[in-house]
Amino acid sequence: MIPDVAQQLSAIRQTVAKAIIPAIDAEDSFALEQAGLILASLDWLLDIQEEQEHYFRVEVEDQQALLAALVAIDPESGAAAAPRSLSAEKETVASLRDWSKDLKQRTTAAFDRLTAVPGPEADGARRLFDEYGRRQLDREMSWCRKTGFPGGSPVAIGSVLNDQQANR
Amino acid sequence: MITETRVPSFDEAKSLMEPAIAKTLRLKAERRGVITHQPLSVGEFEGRLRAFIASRLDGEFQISGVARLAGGASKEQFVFNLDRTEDGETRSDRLVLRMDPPGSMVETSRLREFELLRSLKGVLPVPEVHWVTEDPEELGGPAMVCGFVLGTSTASEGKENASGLGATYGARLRGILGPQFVEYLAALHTHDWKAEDLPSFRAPKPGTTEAVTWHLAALDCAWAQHSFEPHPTLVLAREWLWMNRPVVDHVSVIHGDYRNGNFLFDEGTGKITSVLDWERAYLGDRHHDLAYALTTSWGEYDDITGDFYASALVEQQAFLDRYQELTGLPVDPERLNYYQALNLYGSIVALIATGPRNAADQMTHLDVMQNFLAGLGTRFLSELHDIVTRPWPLSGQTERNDP
Repeated sequence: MIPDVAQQLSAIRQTVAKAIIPAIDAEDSFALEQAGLILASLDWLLDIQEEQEHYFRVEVEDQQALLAALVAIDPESGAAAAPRSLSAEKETVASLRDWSKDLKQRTTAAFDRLTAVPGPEADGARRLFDEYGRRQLDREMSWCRKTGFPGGSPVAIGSVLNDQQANR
Repeated sequence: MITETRVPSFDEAKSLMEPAIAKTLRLKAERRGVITHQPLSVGEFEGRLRAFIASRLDGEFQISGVARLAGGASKEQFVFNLDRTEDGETRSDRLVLRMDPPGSMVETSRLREFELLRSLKGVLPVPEVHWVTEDPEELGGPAMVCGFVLGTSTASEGKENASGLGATYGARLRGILGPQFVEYLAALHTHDWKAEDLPSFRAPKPGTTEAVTWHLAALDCAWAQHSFEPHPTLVLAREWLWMNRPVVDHVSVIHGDYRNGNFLFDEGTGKITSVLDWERAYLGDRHHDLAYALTTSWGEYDDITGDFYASALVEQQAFLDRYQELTGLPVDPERLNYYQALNLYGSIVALIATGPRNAADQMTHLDVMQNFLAGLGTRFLSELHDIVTRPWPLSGQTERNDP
């Protein structure tokens, strides 16, 4: 399909930069500020938009592994859900996003149950959340790299996701 | 430090907030899905402003020079000139109106801000306040009118710091602004707020965890109300923050956002003309402001010495030494660490929950910005994760003061 999403985003960016911003009254600092943010956001989208499905897929895989690890600490934690397997033909970005959110809610509920009483199970849950939290942060820092806020020089999100899948 | 054995649920936290904060969050929840941000032209705003002032002033007046202000990530701000006759004398003021959009990154009370600024006149340089309304029908949202203060928030000889988040000032201005920065913070924290008229503020008792409990509960409620999904770092952080709440020894007025970029100064003389952005202020532990001013993201490392300058103004240890000298109040490293984490938590809630939620619900005039700043939230998440996954503090148990 021509033009694809990346082509459209790039063209929108060019038009805003070349035709819209120059037409804004130089005294209208608020409008100029917002237009600059639009350009920055379009640059961000161009950096990530092709990896959105990949991102959610890796996140679902990670959360499934976390959930399994939490249940392994205490099968009575009640975190188990009917098993679902990722299937490229069936899942959309929207369904992957919803699945990831559901898994995050389940893993959080399991954490709350496991940490309700001090002890080795609570410590185990915290270590798992530390480990999986850092993986999530690595994804998020890369995802947001074009905002300029993450420190250092995060690599492209596709590389992070491929590395995380390879190293699980 | 007090160590707790249980983290309250989000529902339990609702009952622990200051009433004024609970009210602002409740009103926000009622607006969601009902009210969206409607752009207001300068002309439309001027009409509403005219009616607002007419209801509060006797006699003739003239409004001119109305313009929307850029900058800021929260409130809608307009500047205007007001000419009038008062007590037989002609008076001309340049004023600023700060107004709440339907959704702000941090939901705060203009009435609280008004009361506090009124009480701080003469304590440190703050804008003079004139009027406040909590009625959204008058102007479009709760609003406050204060004086426009001359000055700049950035230095022409400054540059972005390494993180890109903080303004720097150059060596000359740093030497002049830095002492004032510490002195005004010391003045704020030692000010006798008990003698002031602050009905919107609830006073925590010293020797208890009330101050931090109420504040943490408000952050929790904002997260519960606005977040899209759980985050593992915040799951860990909530537990850490609730279970390590410190007792406050001396209750101070806390600015809540005290750092470089949040004050105006005269670039020629280096004199601070006004401390700004008081909307997050509350009564609590001075370590909140100290930790905030020491945040590495808006500090500056000297190119030659490598020394860290808190808020790009004062070398870190010199900052703490001078502060203690001026206030007579000790700085507790454990509480500094705690409030560093709490400050990050508060910022993260605003950046990855409230802001994007405002954009998704079309409740803000800053739709693109409030999504874009999620990138900053990600940076802060990484910093918070490092703090709350360090070994647990080894403080002894002290007598609990339940919330």
